[in-house]
Amino acid sequence: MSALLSLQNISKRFPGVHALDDIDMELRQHEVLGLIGQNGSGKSTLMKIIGGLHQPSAGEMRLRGSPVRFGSPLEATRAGIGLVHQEQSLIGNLTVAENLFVDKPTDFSRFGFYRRSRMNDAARIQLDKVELDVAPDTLVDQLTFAQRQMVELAKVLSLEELVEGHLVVLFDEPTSVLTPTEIQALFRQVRRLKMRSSVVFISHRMDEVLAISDRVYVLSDGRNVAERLKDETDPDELYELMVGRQRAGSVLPRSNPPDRNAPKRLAVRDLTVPGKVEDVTFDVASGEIVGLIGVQGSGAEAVCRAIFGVEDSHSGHIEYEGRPVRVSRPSGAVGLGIGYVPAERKAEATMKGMSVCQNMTVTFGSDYGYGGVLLSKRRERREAANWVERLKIKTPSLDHRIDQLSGGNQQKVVLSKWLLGRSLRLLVLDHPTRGLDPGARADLFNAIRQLAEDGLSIVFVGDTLDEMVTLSDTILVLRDGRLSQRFDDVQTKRPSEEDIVRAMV
Amino acid sequence: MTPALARMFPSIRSAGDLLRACGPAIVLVLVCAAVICIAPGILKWRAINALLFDAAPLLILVIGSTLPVLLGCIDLSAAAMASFSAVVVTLLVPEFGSAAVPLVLLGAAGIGAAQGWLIGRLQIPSFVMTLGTLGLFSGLALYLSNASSVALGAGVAPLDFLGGRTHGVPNAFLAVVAVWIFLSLLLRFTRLGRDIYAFGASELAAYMSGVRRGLIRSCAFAISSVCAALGGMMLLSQTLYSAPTMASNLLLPALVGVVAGGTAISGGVGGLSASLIGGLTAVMVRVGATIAGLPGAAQDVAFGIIILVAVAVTTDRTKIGIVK
Amino acid sequence: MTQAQLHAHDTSAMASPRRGEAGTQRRSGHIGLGVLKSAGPIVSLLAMVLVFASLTPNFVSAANLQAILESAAVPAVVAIGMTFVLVQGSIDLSGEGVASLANILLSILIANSVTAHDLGAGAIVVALAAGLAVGALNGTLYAYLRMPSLIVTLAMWLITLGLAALLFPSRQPQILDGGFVGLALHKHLGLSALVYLAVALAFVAFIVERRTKLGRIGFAIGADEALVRLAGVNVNVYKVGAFAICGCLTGLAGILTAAQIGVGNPLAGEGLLFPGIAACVIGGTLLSGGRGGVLHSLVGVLVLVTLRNGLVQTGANPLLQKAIEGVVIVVAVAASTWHLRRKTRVVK
Repeated sequence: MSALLSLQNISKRFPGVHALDDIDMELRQHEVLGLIGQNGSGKSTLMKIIGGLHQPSAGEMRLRGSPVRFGSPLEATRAGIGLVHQEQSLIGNLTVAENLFVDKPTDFSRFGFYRRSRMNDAARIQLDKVELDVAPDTLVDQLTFAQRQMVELAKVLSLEELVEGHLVVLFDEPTSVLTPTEIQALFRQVRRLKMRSSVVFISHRMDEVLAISDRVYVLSDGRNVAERLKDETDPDELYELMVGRQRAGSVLPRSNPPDRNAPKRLAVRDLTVPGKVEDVTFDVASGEIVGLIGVQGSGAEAVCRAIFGVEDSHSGHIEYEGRPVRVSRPSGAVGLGIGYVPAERKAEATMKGMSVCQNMTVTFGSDYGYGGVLLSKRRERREAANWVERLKIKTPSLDHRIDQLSGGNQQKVVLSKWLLGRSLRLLVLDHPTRGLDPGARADLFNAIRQLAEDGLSIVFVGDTLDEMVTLSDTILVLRDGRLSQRFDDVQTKRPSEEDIVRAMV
Repeated sequence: MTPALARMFPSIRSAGDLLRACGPAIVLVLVCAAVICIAPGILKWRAINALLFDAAPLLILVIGSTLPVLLGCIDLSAAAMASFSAVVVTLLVPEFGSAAVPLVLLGAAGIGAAQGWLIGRLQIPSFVMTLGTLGLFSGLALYLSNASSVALGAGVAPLDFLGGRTHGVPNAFLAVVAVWIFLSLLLRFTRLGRDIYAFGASELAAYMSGVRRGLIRSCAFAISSVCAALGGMMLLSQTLYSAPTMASNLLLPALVGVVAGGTAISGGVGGLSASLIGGLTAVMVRVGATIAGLPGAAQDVAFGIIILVAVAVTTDRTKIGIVK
Repeated sequence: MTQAQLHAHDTSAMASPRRGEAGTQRRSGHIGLGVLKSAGPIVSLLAMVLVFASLTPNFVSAANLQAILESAAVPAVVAIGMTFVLVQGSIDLSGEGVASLANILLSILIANSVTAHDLGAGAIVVALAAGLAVGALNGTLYAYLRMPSLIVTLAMWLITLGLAALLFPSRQPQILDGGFVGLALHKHLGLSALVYLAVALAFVAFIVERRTKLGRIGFAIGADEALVRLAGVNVNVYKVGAFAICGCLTGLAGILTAAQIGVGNPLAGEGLLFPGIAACVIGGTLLSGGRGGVLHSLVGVLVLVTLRNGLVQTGANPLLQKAIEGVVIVVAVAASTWHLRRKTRVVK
């Protein structure tokens, strides 16, 4: 097989960072190439260079044998390189057809005016490829999540007509926000794509990468540290290559099982969130870790958000420490001692441009001041520094900007924000490991485990079954907004993953 | 930079940061130098004294307007509030005497707080809300005063104080300094101050961290309105007449002052000292142009260019993603 | 950090799966109450007409309706231009200055009582070009120097206002070009050329908005700029384009004002800006971008103009006019965006 795309000695420097260092890579025809590495190892940067979003500082890229250099994503697109982004890249208030062709040179306009019928006809052809039955002039806002994913794929597939020869399709962590069933659907499309293109596939999850790829490259610290054929390797070896130490996913076992007779901290009765959750009932004891899981749209996230008071409306009874409570806004929840780590870390949890210390002290900093009004910067800094040490947060100083830390460290700062509160009794975690590499994930899990053993109650929505089983004392499975099954004493009697999946779908 | 200095100014890490931090001050110094070159007489104590007296209403408006901007909001109604409250005071003085002034300030606080609360409750942009109240206040001022000047009754102690001097320094300016110090301490050492900056940096993240959005917004707009009303009192103490549009020409200079000082319109960055520098810059440009005999139009052009330069220099583009 | 990295950051923050949920909610709104929601401004316009008509029969007379349309022409031109900027989520405050500048340029370059120039139609071209240039400069400073549009255009407001005043000759120039002044004076079917021009412009603008890349990408930028950048679209070009259109149309508004009043006035633009923006938002164009459009803005203009006219016709105290307008702006915008309210919605 000949190389469709080859990279030689590619380097990329950002001010102060050496993101990629002398990378060699070769993508053959009809091949799915897996690319793994920890956060910050340079995977996304590499994708962006191939996709034309970044330009390499040094090195050469050859496509179909001839050197290429893309100044913009548009140029890469024209050359037949399509990038399926980490998260969805469709524009909500444009139509499906407009989205399909927004990044491509087309002849649908004359003197700057669109010829809609032509564009919609062309879109129809692309949508048929992914067997998606929606009108091309539907606004993307009106599609479901899964439909959008298909449009996303169609957007890349529509390169076929524009470019002669093989396509290069890049998937940058397409699975990180997908559920297991959606992932399977995606994999079917990827296998179909192989007929007419070569695919680069990035994921954090070793099992996924091995399931779909023919060959795997491992990146670490911006260097290409290993290349393995699918059949010659296993997840453990890949983990080791990636993090350079024994499988980093190891989480300490629970030292003391939760007290079955511990007082109830939270009692949720018949919680209903219109359109998302129906009649969900469960308890959380002090020191217990309750894991919620379900496919996309199962309502697990909505349960968390309702407890914290950010769902627009909900009904049912919530008892907290034995008293009925009505939480209608986050400040109310905080007053009760409930914290929430949102899934949308960048939008909802971190204040970009503010320092680590400012982000940590925003909620409970005034507890360390005088009378809840005046602040004591000295005392709260001491407390913040204390948590930086306890959670091993890697930051140059307390005054470093949070958006310049890695995802895992940002998440730990968000966690510390809540842990700073002496009154915190219940912590709700919504997809806490999203976007974290295995090392950071294990650190985070150990911290959560420790907190639970100290008496903090935890409700969390996990991304993977592995996570659920590793961390939870109790697993609640949600399906279509209803509680479909419950697994108790998970740490002593581990349910099989198959059982859980069966309850989910 | 020495470690000690780095600890004192943790946000300054490079030459760019330094320029951003000092840019507005440098602009102010340059403007002052230019004015002094044109008219060395400005350095006389009497001239400075008169200048501070004149500048006080604008400065207090700049300080007040800073708080909504720190939230990432904007208060277009401040100048209208100044005129409106001056009109109301003159109408209330015959009835309430000196008590009219605190009454109006209290009323302004209430109206401002209601404004802030409504922005959150109705979820309409502060630009639209305050555009509406700009119309409302100026309309009411016209209506109440019957579109004419109203003379201020004699013997209103607070206004006499604002119009007077202590040890030769205009009391109005002392009031500006007092408000500035008070609000600076509030921003720096209280929970309210921290919440305001958090809100400005990311409203959603602050909300999800338990910051009480409605309360914070109400406080910021209440402070803005009180400062505006105070500005109206200062104008009134200078002219002893209230007119329904007496402060309307302060709307733009007040915004110029805020942004020329380096407070980012997107929120979370900047502060009152910056605004004071920006406000003084605006004042000096006006004074300089007047002394140099330039037409008012030239001032406008100078204002415009100073805003562009000051903001171009002071904007930390790595902190903002998408600029609107 | 580089710019590209930065965009990547924003994208991941914005392109969240939760948008899916919001989308579904919005869809259900579209099917049921959607029509009513988007028709809200029109309904309130009609309601207002009915109320005023019942209060004073004079209100629906042909003469008065003509008067309403005449007074709507210039604000409509401003609002159409402003719409292109607002749907992108930016704002242009420079309107009053630009209109004044165009007004002065025109009145000293066309046959007039003060200067010796007489460029005829050339004067119109120069004035329009000035508006276009200022608009393009606004857009360039905003898009390429990454300064907030509010600040750039605030500065440009002052600069153009100053330039207009500096260009103003010693005496007020009376426009002597009969044909030009005739634009506002001669009526066809009871309406001046200004009204027809505004209608034609609205039509063209509507086509541009719906059928061209400039229009469509503008909406997309307002909805999610980071995504549009990610799609490889040169966003800055479209931003400059929108501001150029806005500047040019605002300049045109200044020119039309000159035709209406027949003299050059360095403050001709006064009172165009805030009502222009208010009209757009009343009509349902969001300041945050991505929603609304030219037709929405036109309805907003009619609401404001009708309100003004009706208040006069019904004998309301003219001094209260501004106050009532202020309340109407707030109520109208609150009502038209009420269905968008969410706890986690951020409105600055």
